[in-house]
Amino acid sequence: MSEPIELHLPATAEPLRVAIRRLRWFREAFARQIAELSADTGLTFTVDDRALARIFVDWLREVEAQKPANAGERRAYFDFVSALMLRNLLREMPLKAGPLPDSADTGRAEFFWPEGFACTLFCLNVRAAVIEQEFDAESQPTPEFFSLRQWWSFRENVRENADAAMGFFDVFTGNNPEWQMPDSFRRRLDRALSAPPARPTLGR
Amino acid sequence: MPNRPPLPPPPLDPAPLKDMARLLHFAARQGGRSLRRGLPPGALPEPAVRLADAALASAERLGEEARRGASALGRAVMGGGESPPPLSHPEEAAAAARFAAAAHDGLRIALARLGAESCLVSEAAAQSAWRQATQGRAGQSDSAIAAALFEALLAVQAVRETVWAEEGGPPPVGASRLAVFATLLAMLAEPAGFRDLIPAATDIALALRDELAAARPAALQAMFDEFRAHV
Repeated sequence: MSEPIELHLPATAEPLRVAIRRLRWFREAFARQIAELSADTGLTFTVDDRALARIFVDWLREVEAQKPANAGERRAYFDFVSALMLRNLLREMPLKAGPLPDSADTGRAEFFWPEGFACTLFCLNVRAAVIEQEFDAESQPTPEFFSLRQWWSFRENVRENADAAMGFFDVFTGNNPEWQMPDSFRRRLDRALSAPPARPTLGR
Repeated sequence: MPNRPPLPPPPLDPAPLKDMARLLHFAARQGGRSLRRGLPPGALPEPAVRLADAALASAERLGEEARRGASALGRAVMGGGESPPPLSHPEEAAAAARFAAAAHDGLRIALARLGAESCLVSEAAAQSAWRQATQGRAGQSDSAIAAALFEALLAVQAVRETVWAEEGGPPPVGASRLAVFATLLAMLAEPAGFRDLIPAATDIALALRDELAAARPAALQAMFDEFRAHV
């Protein structure tokens, strides 16, 4: 895959950063991502709605608890909450993929790890939409997102420790990955402020 | 002595009548179901077939008439699809009846989401819960009143009977608590469209089931406040 699959988000009169914190909208957006990925690849998935609601509730509590008071930290916070959502999705995995379609090329990430790919794509697409709406900025995945080697490492690391998902998400979005305490927004922020911009690496 | 005009009749409280009609419907359906399950497997001899068919048809007819009666009564008195009153204004006209009708619908939707095949919810009990929970609470926040309603709806056993679908696995522990929380959370989130919110509110309740199992009013109020904007 050379281009990520789009996500046509459900209509809402609210800002996306608000809508995503409503379970109904969140669930509908997730379902659309799965439907669009399925239409594009022939993959099939079943979604555990109850697991998705648990993931949402845990995520909501974590992001509300770490919400920054300083408006200047909002951009970093949106990166953080997107990465945290991916960590929680991969930790509890509400998806189950059906058999691969006959035409599946397992050298491509979406067929190599369908569930992980679907969750990552959803988080990347929602983050991109929020950042575009809030900051009028475009956001594209880095070349690492299209590399099967990175996906192999991503899957293996997440199997050992779901927190690693946040570092890989940073790599895919071009941010400095925080591997030690990725689920602490303050720690990530302090580190980002103190470190010079660096090309992200996956060498764990 | 001058003739005084006759006093107007007291206003009709439809809740007990609706409850009775729904009870008949529920009992008839359950009776029919038990009859079907209890029939011996294989072909019955001819007189027994006729007897069983007649009993089933009669139970179904009785249940359907009762259901239609309850629906007609509900429409005649309330118009149907009523929104709950604002929980922070219990003094509003007909607040108890509006709340009870909405709670009846909400609890049924929530229990269905939890896997119930059918259930019996008492509107009269929900009305009594409203009176208990709102008495002396004027001026309190809607989430504080929701916490009091949570306790009162459970205390009056507004959920009278629940039949769980056999293929749905074991019923969730504390299903009534979950359904009551979900119904009140949806009412707080968006009173006018609360019915549409109940499936999501029920899934939130399920995610919070461990906390809900032991929550006291202060904790319940905090949970309502925490999640009302996130259904």
